[in-house]
Amino acid sequence: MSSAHAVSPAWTWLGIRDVSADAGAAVVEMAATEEMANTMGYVHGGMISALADSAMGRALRTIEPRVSRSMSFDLKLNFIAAAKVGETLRATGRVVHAGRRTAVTECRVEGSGGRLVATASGTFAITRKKE
Amino acid sequence: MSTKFERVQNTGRAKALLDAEPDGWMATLGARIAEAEPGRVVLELIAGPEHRHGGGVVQGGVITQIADAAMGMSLATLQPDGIWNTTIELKINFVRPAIEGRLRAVGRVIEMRQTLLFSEADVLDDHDRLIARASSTCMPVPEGQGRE
Repeated sequence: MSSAHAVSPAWTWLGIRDVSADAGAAVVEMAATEEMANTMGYVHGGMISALADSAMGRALRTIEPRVSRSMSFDLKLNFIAAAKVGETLRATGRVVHAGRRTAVTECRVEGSGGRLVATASGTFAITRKKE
Repeated sequence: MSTKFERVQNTGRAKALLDAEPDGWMATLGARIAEAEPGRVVLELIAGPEHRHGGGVVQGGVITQIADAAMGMSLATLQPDGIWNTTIELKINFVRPAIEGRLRAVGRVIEMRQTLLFSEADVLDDHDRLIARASSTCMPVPEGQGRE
């Protein structure tokens, strides 16, 4: 399914890529580069937020009736462990609830070895295809 | 009093939570602890007119209250005696309205670190439909100083 979606300039810039998708879930990855570091040398939280937002947005594109448009209007993250430059970060987005106009999603961001780096939740305004 | 990080299966605390009669805010709200085991605590509330706002549905603060308590208590069941926790940040999504009947807030532990503790809760109705989803960050504090 992943190839069916256009990749945004932001995804290209950050090197975010689709890994897999299932009904109600999607996995995306991003290799953390030196440009993504904060002053402490760890991956900047905003980069992780962008990755989580992307994974949750992707997860919404896997449900029926199809979501043709989605925009996050609320995004919350818990940064649990620092991520290092050079690590590949893997975000798994899941749809918790999808109504006609809004959807609630969650996400886990993992570093190497499946180490939990962050958890996220997002609320999206969505447009769905008629059944 | 040290609040040094230590994760334990505090089954004694879980049992004490389960055995305790509702008191304080729980008595006011009509909530009770329905299940408690290390890492997972369920709070229950029979929603009625006293919990509804003018719009006819259970007020969000009521739902938040049982979710917050389920999260804090689930963390406490993995903390040693003498240490409890306090919420420093909480977020909730209200997914669908609740009007009446049994509401269950199922709290679970996500991660526990030295200074910060992370947990989540699902609030479900009697048909196990998702009413709300919450997440919180808590901080360990010494037990019994009127702060838990």
